[in-house]
This record gives sequence, structure tokens and C-alpha cells, in this order.
Amino acid sequence: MWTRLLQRLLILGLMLLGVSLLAFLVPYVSGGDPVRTILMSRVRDLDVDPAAVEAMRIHLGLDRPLAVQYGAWLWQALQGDLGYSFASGRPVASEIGHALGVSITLALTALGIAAAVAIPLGTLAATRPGGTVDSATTLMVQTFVATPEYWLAPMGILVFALHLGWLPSAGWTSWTALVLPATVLSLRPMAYFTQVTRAAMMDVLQAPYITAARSRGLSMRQTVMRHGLRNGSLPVVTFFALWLAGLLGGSVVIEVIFAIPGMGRLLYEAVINRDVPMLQGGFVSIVALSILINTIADMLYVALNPAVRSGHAH
Amino acid sequence: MKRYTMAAVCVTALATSAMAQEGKTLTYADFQTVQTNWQMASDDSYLGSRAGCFETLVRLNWQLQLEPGLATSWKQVEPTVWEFTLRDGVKFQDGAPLTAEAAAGALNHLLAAEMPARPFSPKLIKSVEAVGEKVVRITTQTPSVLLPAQLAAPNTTILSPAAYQGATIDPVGRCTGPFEIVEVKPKEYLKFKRNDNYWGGKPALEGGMVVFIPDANTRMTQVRSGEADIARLIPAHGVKQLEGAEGIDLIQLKTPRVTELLLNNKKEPLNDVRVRQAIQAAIDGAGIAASVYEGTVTAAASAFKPDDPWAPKGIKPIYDPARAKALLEEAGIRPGQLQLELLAYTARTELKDVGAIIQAQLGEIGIKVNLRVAEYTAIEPQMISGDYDMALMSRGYLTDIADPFGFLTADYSCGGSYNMSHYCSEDVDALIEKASSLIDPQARYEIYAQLAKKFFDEAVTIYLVNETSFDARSERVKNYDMHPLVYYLMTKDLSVE
Repeated sequence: MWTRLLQRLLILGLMLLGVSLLAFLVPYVSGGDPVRTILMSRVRDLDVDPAAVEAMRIHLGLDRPLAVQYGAWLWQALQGDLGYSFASGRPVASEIGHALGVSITLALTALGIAAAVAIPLGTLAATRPGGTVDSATTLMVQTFVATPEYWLAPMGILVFALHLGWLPSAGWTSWTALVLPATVLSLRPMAYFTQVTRAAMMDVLQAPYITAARSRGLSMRQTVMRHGLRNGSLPVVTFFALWLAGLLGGSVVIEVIFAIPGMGRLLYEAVINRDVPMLQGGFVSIVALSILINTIADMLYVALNPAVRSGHAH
Repeated sequence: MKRYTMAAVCVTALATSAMAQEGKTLTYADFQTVQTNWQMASDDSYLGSRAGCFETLVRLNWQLQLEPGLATSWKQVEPTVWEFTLRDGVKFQDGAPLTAEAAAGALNHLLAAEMPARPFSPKLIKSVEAVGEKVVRITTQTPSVLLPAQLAAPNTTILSPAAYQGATIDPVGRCTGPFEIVEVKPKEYLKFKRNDNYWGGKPALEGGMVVFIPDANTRMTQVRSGEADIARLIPAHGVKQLEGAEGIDLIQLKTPRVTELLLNNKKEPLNDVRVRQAIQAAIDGAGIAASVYEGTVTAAASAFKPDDPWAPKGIKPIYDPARAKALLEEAGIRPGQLQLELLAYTARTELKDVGAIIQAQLGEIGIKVNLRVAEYTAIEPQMISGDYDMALMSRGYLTDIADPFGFLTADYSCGGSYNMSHYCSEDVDALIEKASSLIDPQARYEIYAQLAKKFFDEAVTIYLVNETSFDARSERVKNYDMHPLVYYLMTKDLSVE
């Protein structure tokens, strides 16, 4: 167990180094002078003053050799300082903290909705394979997987914000503003969770201990509730963690359409504006958090599953 | 009895409407966010100005004429020295009085900023000083007739001395305008309330907010659902959608912006005027306007829109493929012989469609065009170094100030900072030089018109369409019209029903 943790930490360190280096190189890979781009993004015009470009280059320290720039960033980052945004001049850490908070709220709400629907639905579908519920579930799963967010989001806005007037069309000022984006974002994980729950439950329901439980005279419902659900929902934990890690980087589409100040928009704008410190800080935070979440999920998996815990898993 | 009830209802209705007048606010949806933490050289200054908070020494009215702002008068005392006399009795929202020292301090802060402002940079301005209580003296590096226009640009906003904290600026409660910023969430919204002591009189609205919404469709929905009263910048496809919408007015503005086909005037065979004229005659600007832009723009002959005071007279778009073929033949180019690369950039999504049409139309006169679409920063180095044939560009010609002098200098003078055409003519440089010394705007405008005609005649650049921009406005909004340079939006007279 401890070796596993140690391994994880080592991988984490290496990945963070790699990611921060990649983020650092983004502006140079895409061609052109990054300083000109930084200036252009501030005045929304193509004609920038060459004198201003040079002054800005020196001010931002971009006149130094690349290795020196990266080394300086790394040294500061090791001391917990992610530097200042090229665009806003504010500390990267506080901007990322704010945006991450927003994205985590959105992701947890979306995944919560997804799990709340998927686990009962998948279980129900598994108890009567081929039945009406099962067929309806399959149809739903296929529809949700195939529906793109950039279509669903505007449709949701048209129906619920414009025609019914129940929810705000955009923004991040009240809990009502969370409903529409979280719901749109929940459909795809909902589809996957349902499928995973159904498959796991089918397996579980064929296990000998279920037959044993049934033979003790427990009803199907009691059997599922007492013995099946806990085991059947195990894979959902893993999937939940994977999705959460994936959504930490935000959903650019959802965040742009609903004007949500989350990580997706932060990083998207950072790429457009060549905001190198923001890119580095953002990617490093996301990767670190993803690895952390997956580690926690692994631990949780162990805690929920005695077979893995005692090392007797087949 | 019934009659009395009716009367009571009317009285109540009147009473509510009178009370509601006091509490009226307005929300507008903007695509732009507070990006640089209020660096005045950036577009954040425009945002503060539109929110009705930021003000400058000079104002630019909707007819593009200069008017007194925080300064009531100005004069050029020497070729390089201007003096601006401040308005009496103006107070900042924090109670500090507007003095010459405060105004000079604000402008000097801008001059010292890490990012200089184009209309007011150390390259143009030598010094700013207070002369007594009421006069600000500004010395320019070279004789300049454009300084008053430059001091209308929102970049030159004057805030209370307390707003300047080291290199950063905090405008909350520090402006002079009709509205006072009270809360800023850089990526979400900005709230403002009425400035009851506004020097220009009491503003009609009690306050309001700007919501920052990057997606154009969402901005449109906000106006339709009543969440916002005004949505800025509606794209061409949205115009068609909103045209029939109930309770919404679409207002349009012919913007000082042109979509153009830049030609590399230095490179063979585009250095031959006949080849450039052939390209000019082969492209159907009206067709592009009708198809790609769904009829929301008009075909261009010049960079300047026809109602500009400096627009050239007597030229109109040419579309004559037969003439184009003849010109090519005259230049000694056989059909199929010439291959040109056309660059377009992704930030303006319509450019790739325009590029495809041009590709087809030049194909008809026997020029093969390879279209390359990339991010702007990826194609710019090629354009700067002169290693390209043609490029599509959306270009504003009134950057910062209401005079195309900066555009003409940058794009068409020999050493111009944005001379992507690599065009160089002694006559043009001499005319630009002459314009820079003429204090009478009309005299300058005549030179600008003359230059525009020359660029058209020599087909230096092929101007495709003069652009239009649209705002959506709820019918209950009164006294709102788009400002030609989008300096202002929240004005003293703006109100809602």
C-alpha cells in the first residue's frame, strides 16, 4: 500500500514537470511573437507599437533565454509561488483557486445528478434484462452519449430560459444559474454510469451469495438493497473519479455558452492571450488534483471492497 | 361602484409608475471582460467609459466632433504645446476636486505605465504639467494637431488621485462620470449606481450592471428573455433571427472598419499595377456582401465608408471579369500561368468563406489561388517580412481617435508600423506629412480622400466590404444609439420605460 503511494507521488512529480514544460512551450509552438499576441489581446487590434512590444518583453522577462525563464518559474513554483498573470497582473494562484472552485462546484453537481439517476436506473435495468425499463434505458444511454453539448446547451437555454422563463440563461450569481449547465453537463456521464451500473449489477446478481440470499427467503428487492447495491456501485466510484478529474479542467463549451467563470474559460483565454504563467499554473494544478482524486478513489475502492483490501482479489 | 374601482386602479397604476421611475436600472450584455485589471492602455478603459464611469478631458460626440468634457476649452499655444482649461466645480466620486494637478497626475501615470497607450505614449508626448489650478499643459514630441482627439480616447481617462495605487488602478468610487462603479467581478459582471453629483446634471437611471457574456447567442437570448436590456455585437446570423422578435429593436452602425484583401505590392507580379487592377476587377464585393454576410454589410470601393467626411467621391466598386482578363493579358500573364497564395486567419470566422469565393472568382480569370487558413499569429510574421502574396484582413481605420491619420500612416507610409502591403510612395508620404500639420479638419479630410482615391486607382489594396455592427435593444430602452467608436453607452440621458 505504501509503495503504491510512493510510486504515485513519484509519477506525480514527473508529470507535473512535463506538463509545466509543455504549457511553457505552447506560445512558441504556435508561431509568431508571443509578446505581440499578448499586446494584441489587450487592445483587440492588430497594429501594435513595436516600442511597446519591446518594453513589454523586458517587463515580462521574456527577453531572457527560455531555459532561464523556465528555471525561474520552477524555482518559484517549488516555493509555492505560481507568479502573476500576464493579462490581469493578478496572482495566478488566486485566479486559479477561484476558477477551480467554480468548476468543481459545477462538476460535482453534474456528476451528483448523473449518479443519482444512473445508479437506480442501472440497477432496475439489471434486475429485468430485456424488459421495458432495460430497453428504455438503452435508448436513453445511446441518445445522451450521442447528443453534443454545444447543441443541447442552446436548446436548454431556449426552452427553460427564454420560453418558460424558469431559469437564468447565463451567469454565476445564484444557485438557479447552476441548474441548466449542470444538467446539460450531467447527461453524458449519466449515460456511462447507467451502463456501468447495469453491467456490474448483472454480474453481481449471478454471484453465488445472491442465490444464497434469495434461498434464505429474501425478496429480490431486499437482496438487491442489502447485498447487490454496495457491490454493484463499486465501478461507479471509479468512473465518478475519472469524470471528476476530467471535468476539473472545466468544460470550455459549457462555460463559454453559460458565461461561467470556471477553469475551461480561464485556460482557453490563457491560450488565446499567451498567458504563460496562467497556462503553467493551471495545467499543473489540474494534473496534480486529478492524480490526487484518482488516488483517493483507489483508496475508497479498497475500503469498499474487502477482497481488494486483504489482497485476495482475483 | 365600478367606476370608482376603475379610478382606484388608475390611481394605483400612476402611483406605482411614478415610484418605479426612481428605481429604474439597466443591464447590458457585453462580450468584453475586465481583462487587464484596469490598465488604461488596454480595452478595459473602454469598458469603464461605456459603463458611464470614466471620463476624459475631451468628448467625441456621435457625429465624430470634439466637444468639451472635463476640459471646457483648449488651444495650441506653440506648435508643440497645448493648454487645456478644466471645467469648474467637478468633483470625483470620492469627493476630491478635479484640479490641474490631479489631471496631470492621471496622464503622467499613463505615460509611465509598463504598457504605453497608443494615442498617448511617451513616443508622442514629451511632458504633462499643471499650470496653476485649472490649466493642464501638454508638450508633444513633434508639432501635433491631433492631440485634442487623442485626449478623447478612453485611454486618457482622468480618475481621482486615490485611484492610482503604485502601478495598479482601482476605479471603484473614483470616477467623474454619471455612474459610479460599485462592484467588479472581472469575468462575470460590473455593477454601477447613479452619481447624484454629476457635473452634467442628474442621470435618469438609478444604476445598473454590465454582464460579461462571451457567447453571442447567449447575449441574444438575454435580451429576448428580458434578462438584459441591451446586447452588444450581434453576429450576421443573429440579425436574421432577431429581425422579427417582438419587443426588440436591432440598431445598426456602419463601423469604421473594412474587410480587405491585402496585396504584397513589392512582390512580383503584384508589383505590376495591371495585375492588381485585374484582381480588383475580378472580385465581386457585392456578391460577397450578399452571401457571406447575409446582406448586413455593403460592398466597398475604399476603406472609408461612404458617409465619412473624408470619403473619396466618385469611385465605386468595380466588378468586370472581362476587363480583368484583358488587364492580365496586357501584363503578359496567360490564363493558368499565375499561382498565388491567399492567407486568412481564424479569429474572424467569415474570412475563410470570403477566401473561398475569391479563390473561385480569381480562378475564373485564370489565376490559381491556394487558400491557407491559420491563426493570425502564425501568418503575421510572413506578412511582416513580405514573404506572402495576398491576405484577408478585417481592419479598423479609426483606432483610438476619430481621424484616420494613424491608419493611413501605419498602413500606407513607407516605414508604417502596419504596412503589410509593403507599399511605398514618396507622394503618399508627402501628403501624409502635409496632413499632420493642418489644424483645419476639413483640409485634412481632403487629403485623406485624395489618398483613398489613389489607393483605389492603383489597386494597392482591394477593399471588399465596409463592415456594419449590430446591437439588440429592448423597446423599453430610450435614448440609446451606438457610438461610432464605442466610447460611450451608459449616458446621463439613457433611460428605460
